[in-house]
Amino acid sequence: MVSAFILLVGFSVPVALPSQHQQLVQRLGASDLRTRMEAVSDLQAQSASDRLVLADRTVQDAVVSLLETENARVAKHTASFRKTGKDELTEAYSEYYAQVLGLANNLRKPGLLSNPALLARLRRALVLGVYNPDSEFARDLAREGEPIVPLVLELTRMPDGPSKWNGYGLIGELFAGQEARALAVPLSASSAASLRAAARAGLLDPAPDVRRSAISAVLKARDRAAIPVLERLAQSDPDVDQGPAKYSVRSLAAEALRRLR
Amino acid sequence: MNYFTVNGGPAGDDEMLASIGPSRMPGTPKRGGWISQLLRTFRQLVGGERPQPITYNNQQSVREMRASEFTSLFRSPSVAFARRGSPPPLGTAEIRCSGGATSGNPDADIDIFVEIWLEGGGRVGFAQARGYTPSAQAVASVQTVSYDRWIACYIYAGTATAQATGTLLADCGDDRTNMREEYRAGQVAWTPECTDFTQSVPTVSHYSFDEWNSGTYSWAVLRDTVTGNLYCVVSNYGSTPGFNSGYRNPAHNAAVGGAQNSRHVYGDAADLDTPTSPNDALYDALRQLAKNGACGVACVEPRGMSPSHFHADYRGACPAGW
Repeated sequence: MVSAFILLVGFSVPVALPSQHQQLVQRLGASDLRTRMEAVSDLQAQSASDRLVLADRTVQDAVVSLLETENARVAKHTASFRKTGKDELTEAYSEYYAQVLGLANNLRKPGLLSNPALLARLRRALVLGVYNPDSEFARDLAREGEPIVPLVLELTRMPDGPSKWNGYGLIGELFAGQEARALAVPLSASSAASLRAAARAGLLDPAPDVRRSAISAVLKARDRAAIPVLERLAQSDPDVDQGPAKYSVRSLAAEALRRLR
Repeated sequence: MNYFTVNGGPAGDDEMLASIGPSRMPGTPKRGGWISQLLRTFRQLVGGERPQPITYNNQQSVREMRASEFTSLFRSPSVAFARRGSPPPLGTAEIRCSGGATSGNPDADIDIFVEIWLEGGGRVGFAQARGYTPSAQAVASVQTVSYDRWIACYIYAGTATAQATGTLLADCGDDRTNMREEYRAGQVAWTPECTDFTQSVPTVSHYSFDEWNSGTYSWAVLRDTVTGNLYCVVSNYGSTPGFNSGYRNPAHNAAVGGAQNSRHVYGDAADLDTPTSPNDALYDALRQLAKNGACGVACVEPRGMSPSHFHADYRGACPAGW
């Protein structure tokens, strides 16, 4: 009877355990950028010696929120840059952002993050983050496989070139991972079809840099349906090499054709 | 100035001076006639008097020294300490401590010991001299040592009063001395040697030294990794983008919003102009050429972070996403 009562009370009154890292969590969420920067440095140093700090749910939540905050800040800056031409993000901020991205990416390590809702937020913040499509980070992120497909497709539909580069870069890495059986969750047939269609659409993008990245994606997807468009690009695309390097749309399309046929 | 002295009282944030009191070391034998020398030897043999070992009774304190404890320490008799000011320096330095002693006892010789102690590094320099009244000199120096926090210049001078001076950074004889001090003052994790500075581009380049040197001095640190690989990238691209930024001395780097340990102060970074949105194509081409291995493997700042320029550096391990 008594034990039943204790069990009842135990279930009906959830005990909110205070985080051991409450102060750090508060600093990660500070409105002041300098405070956030210092907190990220501290967390990075702490997590190097104590891996458990990233297993703390409140810390995980704070890191994901922080990446969302910084992504929004960069997006705002990008929009403002298009209007004013003023580049206001400092190099110090850029290095700090990379630290945040790296910390958040560490949460993807097996067994660290179990909450499905937080994991979904983390994936979104990472895929829509700021990185190079040919970085180690992007290659590693693509290993997630199927769960990131909707986010990758979202990237390819964004208006700016760099987001599309990342979208087509990830499409290429997803297919490379699928072929190497390295994806955590393999691509479904319908997802693979959607990704191939998105890559083919990229071949017609008005921006040459986007067409270049789309060529790389259709090549890695081994999409023979893209051959007619590639033939046209190889013959008449306005983007031609300016020097010895073969990086233009025409050269890349010709190389892709050679390897797809 | 890049020196500290040890002889009196505080002299500014970066200097701390120490006073010298009476000796804790046994005085050396009075120089006298042969009779007194004979008597002294006899007393030593018969009375069991032996020369006492030198004891460095403040060695422990050197490691534990902090600003709040410093006052009492530097008043320690016959021991002189020096430290750089707050915040404490980190990194490497060339250190030179010299001790000079003047005897207050006209009948005593002067033994002087000069030592350099580093917190985290133990005793790294030592010199000893014996002089005659009225003065003696000894010099201890260390070339480029790593140190954690405090530097102590440590003197025993027998019955004499003593003073020591020390030099932390080598004097390059020109602006490079001030540039090196900027690295120390700015707490950059690395301080160049005098010979690390140049007044020319170390490899063939599409850009002049004046373009590469974005700093405020006529000297720059330029590594051939960046000048050589960027020459390769631009040559392969086929036309020459405008040059935006190369080497920056730390003070200038801070003024333009550079990171404390920006690769621009290490001399292995360059920014090229890729100014507006249509130039995403130019940026994209440069990025691929800089990262594909044909011209080395650069760390390239993502476009979202640098919509107006292309930044490449050759630090090796790149930040996440670069």
